[in-house]
Amino acid sequence: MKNITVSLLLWLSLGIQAQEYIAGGENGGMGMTSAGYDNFWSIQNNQAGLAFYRQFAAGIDYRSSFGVENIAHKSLALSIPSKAGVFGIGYYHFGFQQFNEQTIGLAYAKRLSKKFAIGIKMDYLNTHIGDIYGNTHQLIFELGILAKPTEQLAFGAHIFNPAPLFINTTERNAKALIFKFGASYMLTQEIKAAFDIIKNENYKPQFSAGIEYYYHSFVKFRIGYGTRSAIAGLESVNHEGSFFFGLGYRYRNISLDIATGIHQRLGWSPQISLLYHFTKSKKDA
Amino acid sequence: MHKGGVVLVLCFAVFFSLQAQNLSGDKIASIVDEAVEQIVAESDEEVDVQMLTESLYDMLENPVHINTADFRELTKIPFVSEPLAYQLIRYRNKYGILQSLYELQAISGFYPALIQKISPFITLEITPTGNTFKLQKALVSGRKNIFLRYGRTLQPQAGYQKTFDSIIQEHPNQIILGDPNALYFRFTSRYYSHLQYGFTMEKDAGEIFLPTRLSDTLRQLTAHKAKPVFDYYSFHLFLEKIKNIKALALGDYHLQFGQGLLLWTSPAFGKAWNPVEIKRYAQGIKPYKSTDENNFLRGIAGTFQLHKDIQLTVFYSNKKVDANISNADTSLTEETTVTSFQRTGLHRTLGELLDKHAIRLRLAGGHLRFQHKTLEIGMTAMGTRIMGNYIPQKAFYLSNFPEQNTFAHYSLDFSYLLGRTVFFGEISSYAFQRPAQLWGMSAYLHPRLSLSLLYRNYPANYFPGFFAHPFAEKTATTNEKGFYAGIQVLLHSKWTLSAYVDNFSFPFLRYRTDAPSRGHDYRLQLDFLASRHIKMYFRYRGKAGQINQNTNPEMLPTLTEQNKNSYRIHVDYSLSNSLAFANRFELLTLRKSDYFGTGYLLFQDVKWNVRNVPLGIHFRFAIFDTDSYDERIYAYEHDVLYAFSVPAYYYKGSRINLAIRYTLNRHFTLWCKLGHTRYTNRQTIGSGLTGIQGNAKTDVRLQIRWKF
Repeated sequence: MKNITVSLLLWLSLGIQAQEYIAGGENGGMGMTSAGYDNFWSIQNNQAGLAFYRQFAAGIDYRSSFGVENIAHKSLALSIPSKAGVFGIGYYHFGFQQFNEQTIGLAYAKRLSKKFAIGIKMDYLNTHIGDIYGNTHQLIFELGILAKPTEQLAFGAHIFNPAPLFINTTERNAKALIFKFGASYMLTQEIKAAFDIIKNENYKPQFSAGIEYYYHSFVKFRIGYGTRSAIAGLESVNHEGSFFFGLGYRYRNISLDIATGIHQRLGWSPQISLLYHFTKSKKDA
Repeated sequence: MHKGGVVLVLCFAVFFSLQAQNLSGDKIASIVDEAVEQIVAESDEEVDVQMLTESLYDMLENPVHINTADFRELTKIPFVSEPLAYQLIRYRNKYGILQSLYELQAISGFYPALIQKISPFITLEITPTGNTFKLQKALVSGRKNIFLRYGRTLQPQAGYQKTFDSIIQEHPNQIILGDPNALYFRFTSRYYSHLQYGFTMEKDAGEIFLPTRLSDTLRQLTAHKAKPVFDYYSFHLFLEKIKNIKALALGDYHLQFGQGLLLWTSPAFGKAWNPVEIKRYAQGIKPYKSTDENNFLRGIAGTFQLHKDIQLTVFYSNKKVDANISNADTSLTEETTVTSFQRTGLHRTLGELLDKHAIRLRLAGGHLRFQHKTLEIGMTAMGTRIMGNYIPQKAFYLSNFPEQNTFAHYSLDFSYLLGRTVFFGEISSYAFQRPAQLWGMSAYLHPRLSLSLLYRNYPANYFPGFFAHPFAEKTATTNEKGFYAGIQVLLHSKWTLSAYVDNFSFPFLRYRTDAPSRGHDYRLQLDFLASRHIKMYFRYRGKAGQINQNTNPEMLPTLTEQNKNSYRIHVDYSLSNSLAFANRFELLTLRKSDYFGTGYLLFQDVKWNVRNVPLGIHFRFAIFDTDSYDERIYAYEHDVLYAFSVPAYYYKGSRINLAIRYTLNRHFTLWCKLGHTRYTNRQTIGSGLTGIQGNAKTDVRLQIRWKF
């Protein structure tokens, strides 16, 4: 019985883990859009955004897939602005003892002009499967750009693992190439909208969109929708999208974002992220 | 009716009215024509065009008195959302009545452009009080209208064959008793907004006209179900706004309460056309003047103002409805037993005629409404009695509805405006079992962005009664659960984006779906207003659902996905006030397990309002090519006033539609419509009663209106 459970979890994990986890409760509440953002979690989602973020901060993110403890995503990150650009360190963990994946990466983002930035990230990845398959070590990189034609509008594009740098075992465990682009738009001071199109080389393209409403400069309400499948590759549920809802609140140096995805069949995927800002905002400094 | 519908319509009405300031009768007719077309063109389901058209005429002829109107009346003004209406009331309370329309600019949210748009529908006059109302005067001096309509399909159809009575008796559902002419007669009178009365008589194609012409045996067989002269009669008398009587209906009437979970007899706009305007604006009692032979109540109903904030509606209805009668145990009991109800309203064959008015349905109930500022709370209680036994037809995909003939329903609804967000909902219970519920909100976050959310949960064992019409993927208040989100964004002064997502599931089995199923419905539309004379849109619609895969009854049922995607480009452009064109290209694809099919539709429209002659001409040429009936494409086409035509285009062929309106003088208007479809890959059209040998089908319709 235990073996069945473990193999089921393994199988689920492979699918869920491939669903392109997006870090950050802010993104999570807005349908998991991320390409056109310049927030803290750009460290994990699109490094170019970090160049516009320019804050010294640390954050933690936790997303439970459908309320199942063993297939949760966890993320830790730190952003360090400097004169030469913004640096970021990100750690990611997914899975449980028999199947897990860990990534540690170093990001660097730089503004090339007032309206344009690029970002890059190097990742070391370790995939651990059971006791037999053991560990896979990989070295990969990510690239991103972010353009802001106006103050309110941002377009971004990001590619994950365009060409594997190193892998110690078979190609079977190699990470897939994922490309995404999207935009975010500040309609007013209070309303922000975003959309993304994301393509994993193995699966159909996915669309997502979200809206944020900053209510009386007090709390942020978010809603989003994504066509992304809950479990990539499982065609029968592939067409079933998820709604997303979220709340964001900032008290002095601390930002708290909570969100949840609601899948039509598989249910709720709550997400929470916490940020600590060491300095005040240095935007456009 | 759905307020949103009217908003869209009037958007075009304004567009036309601003071009011609002096509105002649013909001009108003063409404005309304255009406007109705704009809205129903977007609708996939049946719309009560008559009610819509009339509300438009009403609104142009009886503008809202903004100095005295209450919150609910103000929200009826097109383009005025609930938050704006409330701003206006607050302003009035603070500064007193408005002296000029320009004063509106002082109220936040009323932009000059908006004031210009709404100006035809508002007035600063103080409403005359109801005291001047004299019944006698109202009865005589109202505006009266007589409509006479004739319609027919020119090609001979299979069901119309002369034969012996014995053969009819043997095949009660294969031979049409009447003639192929459709006839319609209507008289209405209207005295301002206080009194309306009138009657309607109708005979559909194939129904018996003048049953005295039938043979004696046939008359015996039909059990004298055929009425004298026409097949269908309707009468209404409706009083409104007279002292404490808010509304009083005698004869046939509509009822609309809450969000339609329990009572909403008229068709309403679904999610198809404006993704944000999903809240229903219930109008309580309305007179019934249409020809849908089922969706209305017959009896008496009244709404009374008990207190400044409280209204009470009571209603009683007693009418016969069409139903299938089981003859199994008639010898044992006097009572008839109903197995299912017929909703088509057609009585062409002996079988259909025998089902006509087979059972009596009695309804009685009340609705109490509390309204204070922007809060509204309503309570409804309703009892239904079928005057006979009700043993629902046993099909395993049908929910287990109770075998009883008396039903009690209760419902509670609310609506509340908080800041710029409207919250609304209704919860309805049948015999205190698990209730059906709907909760929604529309947030007008910014003049350029609005958003709506709606959740509904209608349990499979909830018995919806007979007159519910809620927000749903499948019309009924039963066996459905879903979450909807819609948004509208003005991206730029000329670009509007609107979209919705609806995820739904059906917890119980359905027709052709032998397992619980689910699906989604997406729509995305981008409108581009290139100039005052050119507008276009692109629309994508994606729909997914599940249906049975195998038809072998010995195998466990498995479902397969069915995906329908349609892409449409539509352009409207006018060259002058009198000449306008439209083009459309639509592609539809259907994917279902291993099957993939496509369908195309292209059309050219010409609209010509002849200068100096009160003549309006609508012409369409359409060409279509679809792999099968499943890829059919719907497109609204112009028809005579108050008639509704949304043909489905399928197989290969072309269609011509010509609709003409001619205003003879201020009393008489004539309409004529001709539709002709020719199929290139068919030698027979349709099947069964209305099947045609040949590859062409022609429909004509003639109508005359006498106003006096």
